[in-house]
Amino acid sequence: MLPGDHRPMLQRSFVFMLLTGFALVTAAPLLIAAAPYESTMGLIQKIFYFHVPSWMAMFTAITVCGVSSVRYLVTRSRSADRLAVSAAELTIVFGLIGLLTGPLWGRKAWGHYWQWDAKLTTALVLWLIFVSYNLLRRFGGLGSERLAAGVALFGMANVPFVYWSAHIWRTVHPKTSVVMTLGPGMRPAFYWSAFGFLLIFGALLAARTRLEALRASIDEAYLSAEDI
Amino acid sequence: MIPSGGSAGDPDRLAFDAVSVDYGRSRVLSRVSFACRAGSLTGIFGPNGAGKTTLLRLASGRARASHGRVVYGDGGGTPSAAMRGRIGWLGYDPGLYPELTAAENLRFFAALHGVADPDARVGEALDRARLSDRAGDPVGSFSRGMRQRIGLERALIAAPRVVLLDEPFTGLDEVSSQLLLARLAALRDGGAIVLLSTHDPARIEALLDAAIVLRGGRLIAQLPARPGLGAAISAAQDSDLASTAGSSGAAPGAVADVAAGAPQDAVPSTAAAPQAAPGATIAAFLRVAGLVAHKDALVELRSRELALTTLFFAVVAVLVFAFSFVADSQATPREAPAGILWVTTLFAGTLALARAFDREHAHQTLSALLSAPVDRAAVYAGKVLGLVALLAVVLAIVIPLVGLLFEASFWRQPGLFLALVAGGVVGLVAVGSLFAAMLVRTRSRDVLLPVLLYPMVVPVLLAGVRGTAALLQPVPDRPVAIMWLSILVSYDAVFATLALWVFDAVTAED
Repeated sequence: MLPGDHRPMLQRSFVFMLLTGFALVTAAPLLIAAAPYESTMGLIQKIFYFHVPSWMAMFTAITVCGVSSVRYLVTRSRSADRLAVSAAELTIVFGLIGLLTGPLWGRKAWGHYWQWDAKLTTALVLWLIFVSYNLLRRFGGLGSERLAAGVALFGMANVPFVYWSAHIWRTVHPKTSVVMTLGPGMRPAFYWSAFGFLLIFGALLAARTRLEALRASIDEAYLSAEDI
Repeated sequence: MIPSGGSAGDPDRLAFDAVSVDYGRSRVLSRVSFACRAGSLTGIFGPNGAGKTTLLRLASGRARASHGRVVYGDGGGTPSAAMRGRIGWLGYDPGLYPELTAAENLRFFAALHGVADPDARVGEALDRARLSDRAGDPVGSFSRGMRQRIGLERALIAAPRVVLLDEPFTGLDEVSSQLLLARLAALRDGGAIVLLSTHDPARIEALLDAAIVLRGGRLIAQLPARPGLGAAISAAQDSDLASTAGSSGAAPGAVADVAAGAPQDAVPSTAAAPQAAPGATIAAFLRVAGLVAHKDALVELRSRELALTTLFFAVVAVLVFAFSFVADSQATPREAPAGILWVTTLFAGTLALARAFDREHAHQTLSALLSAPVDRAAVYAGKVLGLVALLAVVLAIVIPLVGLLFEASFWRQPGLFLALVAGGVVGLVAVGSLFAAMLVRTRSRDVLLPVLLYPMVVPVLLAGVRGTAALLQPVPDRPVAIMWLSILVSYDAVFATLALWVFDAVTAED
């Protein structure tokens, strides 16, 4: 028996998907293209509109994964576990976007694709923790969901270190306060892009969680067949 | 009418209420319902793979029901720490440390269970096992039957009220089997709920109050005590259409007693009952952590396995680095000794962590440890203490070796350097012990431990390397070293607290 609403994903979430698509389609050609060039970085600064929102989506994914993992450890709720594993996979996706777009900026700004400074290193480590989470889920066998929940908690505990690293240590990476200093012409593009990224995160999370729920219902069907 | 079980909190009934256990897409136990009263002995029978061990593991809290529930007296679900102390479990492996003597093993578990007058209790247990003359011999030198006898005493050391025995006659000679039968009768007459699995119904037929027959995870027969019970059990096991009275498909909440107990004599549990709620205070926490650390130290002093293998590995790692970097000593970066020292510590620490928990798992002693009625975080703290001490011994040799091979003056700021080393080792072991413990029952654990651990301890490595490198400068850079030390301390505080908090939840066997 499939859980909940049986209509296809796109049909059930038509309005949400439409809004997501609209946000993403309009962000790049309209708002980002129309935003003014930054005086020193020029065109390359426009990576900012993808780079920062991708990290925002990743931190949201980590928070969802961490909180769901706590809920799973306390209540053993299977839906919490499904949400955690879905969010963990999206952490990899959005983290990868951040890790790929950052060096493009760095090459122009610092002359190198990568610098081993605190912000970059801690961000990479955080991403690696969630790669290891997914490896554990993939290869850990039965019972690995509980162990992975512990890993997710440790991963979530790293988030403040990453966020504040540019403030605590002297790093080449801009501080998080740079968002607040954006020129008036850049703000609509940035906030709209961030909104779009969070929407696509929500849409992917819903789809991935739904997939896990369907997988669980298939498992349940197999188990029910054994009882006949 | 069966009187209530002995002391406060003792369950007078153990019930399986439509329990199922699923492993992935496989249902290994399917809607099993039955109950046993205090003062009864129930046999669980069935072919290999029938679900006997899973059923016993469920009752012991080592497995969790996917559906339905196990009810202890009036309470259901996973047994609490106090209830764990009222359950005695003997699995296929007796759950003993081979390096420790029979007396040390029993004394350790008696202390862990908070047994009053443990020495007297251990003496009685050794007498019952007929091994008083071998009390000072390491358990590793015992035969299978002798270990089984000591294992049984380990399971019964705290006078449990629920006794769960998985194939307890394994390895026993005829005399020991007869003594075990007498012991089982005494336990039942003393008011305990006894559940045991065996392939030999004829051996215990006379003692049984009831028999449960399983096949393919289903309860196919519940048989009350009667003449010819052994033959009936064999017939049920062989038959495809056995009696299913009160078996699969029973509605939750309607659990019939399959084994009503005999009237109880004076219950002996109070004489050696665990003290109330050990682990509830800081003193109890420290006591348990100390017990576990002391036990680990004793095991290591006897075997020297971890110390020698870890030290050898660390020395070889340093030499490999030396061959790689010291071909031209002028070309060796000033920070190289710091990096080599910390990478070696990380590698050697991983080896020690993996082996320490593998060893516990191989002898089923980790399971026995985690089943004790103590705060599991205290067990974790004890393991951390033991491993920190072990790495301290290894580093006492590795640090001078790195200093010698790379002409590094680590000791110009000894206080700061030692603080950095201590902070780094505590951070590595605090996180590593948690991961090693939680991975111990996982397949691919050899690969997964470094995969999970290394990203998590990168901050330890960075702070250790940078802080140590600051001290290796021509003029030691104290402010930078202190800054990295403060990061290490913050890391240790956050992650050790998190590990203490989460250890119980992620390492529970259910």
